[in-house]
Amino acid sequence: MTALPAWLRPGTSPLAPHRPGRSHLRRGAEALAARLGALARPAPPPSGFLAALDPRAKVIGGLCLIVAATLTGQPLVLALGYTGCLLLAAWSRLPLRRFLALWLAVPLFSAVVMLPATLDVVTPGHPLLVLWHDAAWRIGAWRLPSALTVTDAGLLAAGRMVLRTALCASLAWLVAASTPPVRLFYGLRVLGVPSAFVMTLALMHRYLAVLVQAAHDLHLARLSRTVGPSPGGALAFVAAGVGSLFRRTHSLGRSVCLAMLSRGYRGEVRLLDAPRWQAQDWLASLTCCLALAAAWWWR
Amino acid sequence: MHIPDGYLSPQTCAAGYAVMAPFWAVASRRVKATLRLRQVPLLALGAAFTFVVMMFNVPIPGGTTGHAVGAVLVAILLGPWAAVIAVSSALVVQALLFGDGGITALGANCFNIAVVMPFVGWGTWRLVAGKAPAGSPRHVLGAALGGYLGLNAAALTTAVMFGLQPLIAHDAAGRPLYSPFGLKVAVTAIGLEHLLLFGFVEAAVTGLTLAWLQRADPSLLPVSSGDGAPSKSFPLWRLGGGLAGLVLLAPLGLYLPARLGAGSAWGEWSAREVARLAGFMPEGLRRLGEIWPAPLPDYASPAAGAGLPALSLWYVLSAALGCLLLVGSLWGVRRWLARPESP
Repeated sequence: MTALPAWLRPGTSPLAPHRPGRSHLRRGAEALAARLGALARPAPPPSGFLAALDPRAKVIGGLCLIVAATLTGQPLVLALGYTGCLLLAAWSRLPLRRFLALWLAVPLFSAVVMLPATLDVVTPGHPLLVLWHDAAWRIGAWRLPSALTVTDAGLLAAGRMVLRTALCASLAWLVAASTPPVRLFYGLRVLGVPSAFVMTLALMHRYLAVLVQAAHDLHLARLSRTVGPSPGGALAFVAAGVGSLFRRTHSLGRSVCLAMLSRGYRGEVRLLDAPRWQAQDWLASLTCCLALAAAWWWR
Repeated sequence: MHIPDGYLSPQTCAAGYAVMAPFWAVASRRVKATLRLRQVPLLALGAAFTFVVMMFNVPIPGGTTGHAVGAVLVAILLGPWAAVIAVSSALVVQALLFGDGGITALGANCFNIAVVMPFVGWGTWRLVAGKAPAGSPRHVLGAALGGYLGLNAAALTTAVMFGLQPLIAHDAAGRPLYSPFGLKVAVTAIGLEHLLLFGFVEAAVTGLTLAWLQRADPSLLPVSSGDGAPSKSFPLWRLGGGLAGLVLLAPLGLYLPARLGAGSAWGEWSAREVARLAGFMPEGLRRLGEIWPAPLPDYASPAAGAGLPALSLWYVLSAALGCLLLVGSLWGVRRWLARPESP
């Protein structure tokens, strides 16, 4: 079979390459195209370790490990878990480039948010680095502190937060990337989530791409009719776009409902291929539960 | 406002899920009772709509862009309980599939974005719109005001969750184990950007979308049935019941600070506290402080004792009095707005 050309693949915007100062319309269209690409991503290879696990085991295990990471305050344990996620992704043959992008971006983003927490004005402690002292700087009527230092307690708190956030995000990604969304939602049933809610999630995910595509088309149509900088009616476009999308949502909802009723839907949810719980699922779930118990014990 | 994993302590995350559980249960029951079999596709599409609304960029001053949350719009168009399910579903998909918002923090995120925001916004819209016909500008005004207040209320609860972390989770040396920013920093940082910037984006998108629907397809508006009056009478007795419950919970504002050893909020000190903190009583503060001697200073009679039970009773009485005054004045304004026009 001939592969699709690059410009026809999902997630590819037919727009010209980026330019600095691009308009909100172009940014919106590009973000929507990227989201479409993420929704159309191929299923994970079934041969990998994580992909072979039952989705319920992955939901239990993922949740236990995320709660364990939240309970743990030891930076070394968090760093080990963070490195372990990378090894697990490689062992499970998940797309490493995508994982590395997240693996590196999340701590950087968290570090920016946590930067003020390293300062003595937020977290008092033993000063490690003096940024300034005996200064009398003012911004209008606002006087900056006469001295500002980076403290050991601040660095520890910020470092712990960065590692913990990165580990939790990595664990969530591993579960999501190794499980097709519908099976992942099915896995939520093990936590007692009602079947109607699971079905709402599955249907939402199925029609999300349709609505994202509609929103992308709206942006493209507007862009193709706009010459030069975007005129002042940006808010009017957003309001009309959201309103028009709601009309489409409403009509699609009614059509989908009629289609489901005509195929025998009476409010009951049935899965065609319910996964089976195997020995490896027991082992993985128990290991994660033990990790949670250990984190609880040594918290 | 999507709180990631790791920022909130396990106690806060557990409380988030515990608070959300009854909301999800009631929302499922209410939606089931009103939408019947149509509920799943409509709700699923409503959830997808919520998700996509967050992707419409709006230019904001400074050359950057922001986006609306859309929870108030969904509450107005589908009803507040349907909005709880739709926005929660969108948040679940964002957390599970796109890493936007944490899994442990999901309960807290749902409380802020799927409960506080739609209910505050929807209530404001109903209060302002009243029984005005579907095409009335009061609906647009109410939706815009609802968007602004709903987003800011959600931002406030988010900031309070962040700000409480150093108080409730710290090590033996007092160092914070989770988000290290106290209430003062969190409320200022999150509150200001929403009050001055994102609140207006939300207001504009919510109000203008409703105005667009009024022109383009009024049949989709929830107030367009019949003669333009709302299709269902407003359950005032339930609002009253909820308000009474909150009034009875008011003494928590005394017990929690006493239990956590917290002092007065920053900048809300009494003149005596300022004198104690600063070592002297500023002359201007003393002079201005004497202009209006409040009848119930600190929500209690000056003759009340210092014990928590007596203060709690005064807290409840003050809350009830405040609610009565507010409801009475709003009712007066509404009567004035709805007066028949002179020929």
